[in-house]
Amino acid sequence: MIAFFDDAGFILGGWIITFGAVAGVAWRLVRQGRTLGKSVPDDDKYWT
Amino acid sequence: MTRSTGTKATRVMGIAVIAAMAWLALFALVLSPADVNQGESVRLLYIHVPTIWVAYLSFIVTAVSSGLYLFTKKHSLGWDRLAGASAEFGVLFVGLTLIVGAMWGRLTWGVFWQWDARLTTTAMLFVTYIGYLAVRRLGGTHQQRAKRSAVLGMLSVLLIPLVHWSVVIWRSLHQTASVLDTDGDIAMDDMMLFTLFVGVVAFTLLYAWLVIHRTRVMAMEDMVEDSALETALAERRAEGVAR
Repeated sequence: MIAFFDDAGFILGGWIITFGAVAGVAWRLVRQGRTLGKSVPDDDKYWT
Repeated sequence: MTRSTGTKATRVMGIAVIAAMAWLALFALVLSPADVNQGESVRLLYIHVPTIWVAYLSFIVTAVSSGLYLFTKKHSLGWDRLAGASAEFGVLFVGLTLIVGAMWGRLTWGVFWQWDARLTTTAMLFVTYIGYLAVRRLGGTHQQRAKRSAVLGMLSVLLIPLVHWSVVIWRSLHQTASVLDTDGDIAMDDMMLFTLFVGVVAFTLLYAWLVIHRTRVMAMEDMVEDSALETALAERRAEGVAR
């Protein structure tokens, strides 16, 4: 347990950086999709 | 109401990704035991290994879809977008592998970085695909972009075997493969192996979700660019007629 708290900064830091980066990219992607979705007619979106 | 890149399927997939990540965090940080040799730092490997696995997968998808673009009669830009989207996330995941690996190295080896064969070849892989993404941003038509990046995408993937077997080819500080060992023997605690498996599934699902959305965003970016070009050309033609 003591070893865990010694190493916790690096362990949690690694997890936070990974999840933070991925969440940031995902959030930006969804926003980009919403913004561009307004400029393109629905008929041209092959996934709809 | 205008539609964005989401569909019912991607929403379900998104929920599955969040659930899988929560499941991974529970197993990796709470339920799985500390390693006999590495101690608590093993908890970083539950993200380090899945991120490099997804990075390899991303670059293989880039190479395969580049080949499908180049060698099929239709030369569909859909394959090109898939190649580009996949490479973007490959770069993201290799970057995360290097950062998390450096933290693990600090805890286990006492240093963040060593010019070791595995670390150096992984850094080379990262830089190579940044170059690939830079090439995609050069000017020209969509087809020109697709053709030159497809050639690069198919060549760059040749680095992956070098990265993977670097620990065997050269004397390396980095440990050799624990799961995909050449003799097929898995010397790992069941709970650790299961946690690693959850990580690989969670990150693969995340990769699929990201790529689906990114290819759709890229398709819309191309449409907007084409539409802007057509408008500009129409304006120039109108100017010519007015003179």
